[in-house]
Amino acid sequence: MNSLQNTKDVCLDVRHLKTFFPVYKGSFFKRKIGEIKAVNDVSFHIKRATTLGMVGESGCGKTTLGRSILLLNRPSSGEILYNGVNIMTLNHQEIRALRKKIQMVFQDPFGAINPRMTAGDVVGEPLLIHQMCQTKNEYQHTIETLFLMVGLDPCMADRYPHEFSGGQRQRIIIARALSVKPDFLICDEPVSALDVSIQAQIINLLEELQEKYHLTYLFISHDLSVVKHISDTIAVMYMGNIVEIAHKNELYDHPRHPYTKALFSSVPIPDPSIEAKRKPFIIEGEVANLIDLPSGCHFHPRCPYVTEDCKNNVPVLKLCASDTMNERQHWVACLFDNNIE
Amino acid sequence: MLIDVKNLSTHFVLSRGVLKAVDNISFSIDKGEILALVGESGSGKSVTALSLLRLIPNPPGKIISGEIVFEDKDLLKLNPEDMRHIRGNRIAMIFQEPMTSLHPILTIEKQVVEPLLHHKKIPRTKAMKACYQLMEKVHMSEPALRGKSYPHMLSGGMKQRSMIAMGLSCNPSLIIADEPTTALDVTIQAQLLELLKDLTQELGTSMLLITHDLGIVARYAHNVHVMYAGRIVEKASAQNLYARPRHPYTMALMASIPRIDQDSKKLAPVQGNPPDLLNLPKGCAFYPRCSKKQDQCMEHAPKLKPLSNNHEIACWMYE
Amino acid sequence: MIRHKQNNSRKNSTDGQQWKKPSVLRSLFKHKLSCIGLIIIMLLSFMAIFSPFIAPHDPNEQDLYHVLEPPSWNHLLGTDDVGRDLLSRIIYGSRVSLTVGILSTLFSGIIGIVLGLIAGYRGGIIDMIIMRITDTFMCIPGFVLLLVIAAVIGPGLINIIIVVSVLGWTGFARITRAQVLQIREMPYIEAATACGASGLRIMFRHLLPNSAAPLIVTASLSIGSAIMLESGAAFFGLSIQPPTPSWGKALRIGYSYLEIVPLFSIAPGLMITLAVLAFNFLGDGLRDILDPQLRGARERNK
Repeated sequence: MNSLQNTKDVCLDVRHLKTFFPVYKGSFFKRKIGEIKAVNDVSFHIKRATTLGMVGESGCGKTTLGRSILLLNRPSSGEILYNGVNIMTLNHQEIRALRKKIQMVFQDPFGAINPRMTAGDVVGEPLLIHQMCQTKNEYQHTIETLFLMVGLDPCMADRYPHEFSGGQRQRIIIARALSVKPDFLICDEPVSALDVSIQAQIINLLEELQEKYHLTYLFISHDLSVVKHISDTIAVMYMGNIVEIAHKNELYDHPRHPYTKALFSSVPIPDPSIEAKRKPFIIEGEVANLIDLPSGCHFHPRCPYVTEDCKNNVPVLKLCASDTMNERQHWVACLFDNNIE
Repeated sequence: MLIDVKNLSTHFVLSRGVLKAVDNISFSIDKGEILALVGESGSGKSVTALSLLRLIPNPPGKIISGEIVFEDKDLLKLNPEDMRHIRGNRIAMIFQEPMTSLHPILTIEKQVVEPLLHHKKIPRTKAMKACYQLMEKVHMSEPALRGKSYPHMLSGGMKQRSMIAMGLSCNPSLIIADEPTTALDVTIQAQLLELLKDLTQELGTSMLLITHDLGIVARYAHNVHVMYAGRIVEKASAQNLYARPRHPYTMALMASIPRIDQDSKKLAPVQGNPPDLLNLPKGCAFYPRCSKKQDQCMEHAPKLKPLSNNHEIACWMYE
Repeated sequence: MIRHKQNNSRKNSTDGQQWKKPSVLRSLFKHKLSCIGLIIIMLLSFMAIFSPFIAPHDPNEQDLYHVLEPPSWNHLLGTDDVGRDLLSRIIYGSRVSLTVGILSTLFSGIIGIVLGLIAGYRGGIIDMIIMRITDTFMCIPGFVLLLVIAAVIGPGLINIIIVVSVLGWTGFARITRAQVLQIREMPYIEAATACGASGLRIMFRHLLPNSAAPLIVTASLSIGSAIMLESGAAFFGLSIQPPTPSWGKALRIGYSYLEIVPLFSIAPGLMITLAVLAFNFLGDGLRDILDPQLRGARERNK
């Protein structure tokens, strides 16, 4: 799998993670008739103070992956090593302590904040949960600092969420995540629900915070342009597997998996003169049923390069290009490992 | 000119005040043209589309003034019966959320055939045949199976294809697509937009494409109108708009979106917050966020003036 | 499959404007029915609290020379079967009714809400057990249960409060559980879990405040039914003991003299009706104002 260089460098190391959801039939006496293999043997690692972007479409499992790392969905098997410690083996108290180190920035600025709490209470709740402030003054002061950190006016702390705009609410969510001084942030579509003109503000904020506090990000999104902008490395997911993972420029310039190529090609570029010259690489068909997975390579029903081999063998991630100077590697899960330009 | 909209204004009367969703806009669409209406939430683009088809809920909304000349008739002066004849027949609309736009307990074939039966008054067997031909035309896989299915059994892409089939069934002159692919995956989005483009070209249908995605506009639109706070602030061909954006809002917007083909430099966000449509500033609505504001921007709202060939702008910088 | 994407209209709401929601109290006064209800409740409360100052006579003062008298200047509503001033008894009677109404609703609310929270949040077997217990209690006809319990533990104010509480908690439990099931899936509950919040904190800091609206409505309606239950119990002599005045008791006694002094029954009957109506109006008003859908529509209109 992804070979590790310096363990000190690696913040998060996920190995063969699987998260399956059982599907039951019947109401009183339930019978398990299948499983949704949301995350199906995923391995990757993230170096400290860098950003790994996770892209994919519906059903690819990227959101479930983020939630599995936080143990909001209990993984079925695999290992999640945070700073070398396998968090799947931790007990209740240790997991609670871990929640100070790994935090999540949620996607829904409307739903992710309790509408009945003031902004200050929302941001300060983790401080209370983890008893991080000794005095009331310290608590107030910390909240003020957090508000300023995310670009909000501290005197708005006693307002209710509905009095804030979408972008401001997202800042509140970020402030809440930062309150416990985490090292690692999982950002699950943090800007998708925002207006285009506000997205840039939040993206810039996240970048500034990363630089200032040496944060590590797992940035999950379906918006390729945003992911390419903010990430260092990008992993492409399809139906529960990572199909390709590489440095962002390498991935864009030399995509090797047909799905990656289709994904990048589907994103229109805001420049008609460039668009006129582009030949869109459009794949037909849709994502298959997650309960009834296609045999072999899950992508084979839609792949324009499909062969008999693809229907029978499951491809694994293989190293296909390596830039040792910059410590960058390019992995792809395809039986052909060809350079499709 | 297929449709000519003059001085259209649509207001919503709320307990807290009057919301000027669309404020005195004028534009036109030619035969075979794809016009994109671009803006963010609150810009008034969706309300414009609904106003064209007179689908504004009354109360609290009302089209208070304007003229919509379509095929030599002013749509705002038509009686309800004639207007119904236009909807789905001469002008069709494709909505954003296919999940809520399809009837949940009618099969797909029943819904796709409905405009044909209602407007064209052809016998059912003939209509069904046409319906299945349409479903094939929109590249629906296994049309026979899909036709007998209910909407909840279909994926988002399939549902939207049904909507497109419905929209094109009566061969309308104009299709209004209101964010048709926003709720869909990006590869499905690409499939559907290519399909829409091919079909409209083939049938000679004009399209009013409403979106906030500047990439889609660049790829598919001939002409673009940028809306902000209920007004049109810039009109240009797609080429001109991207090559030489003039309005500070347009320029700020373009500078703030990350581009997949460019190396990441720091984004230049548009300052401030989206406008409060109940409390618009007296002069130019973009004034509070504009980096190039002048004194007169605060007092007087600028009007659209032609700048060069096929490029109009509403900004005091260019007066 | 459709990826999760916010509906555009939600982006419209609030642009950082300081739009203060009008206070619930002010909205209640604007709502016609609930305004009436609120005024009546305020008058009744005033009557209950300041009974010693309002009542013209001592409600327990008997005057066997002037029994069952029609209204006169001295006794505005006449006298009862042992010569006590009916008006004073009615005024003091409000204390019992309101006390029982409010306290029993309070207790049944606490029991029901806590059970509903646990059932909804924990789910699984715990939910099933609690719900089956609730169902069992709901099957028992209320009044029969009241009679049985009252017969076993005897009459008295505290006992009647206990009885009415036991009858009322199931409604609260079900409504709370239904609300919790809805809210449980909201992202902010997940966010709280992700922050390390304990189950207790989630239940009382997040789930409960957001379930409050229908519970407040239920509570106000419950007070009305509690008053009726108490009156019914008093009718059967199972409520507070003599000589404490109570509307239900007055109704009972007056029933025997219906042909002679109908006012004896009509007066307490009217008071019960008024009180119950008032709380029902208040409940209606609260429901309209606090209804999340209406509130949601207001939010969307911003």
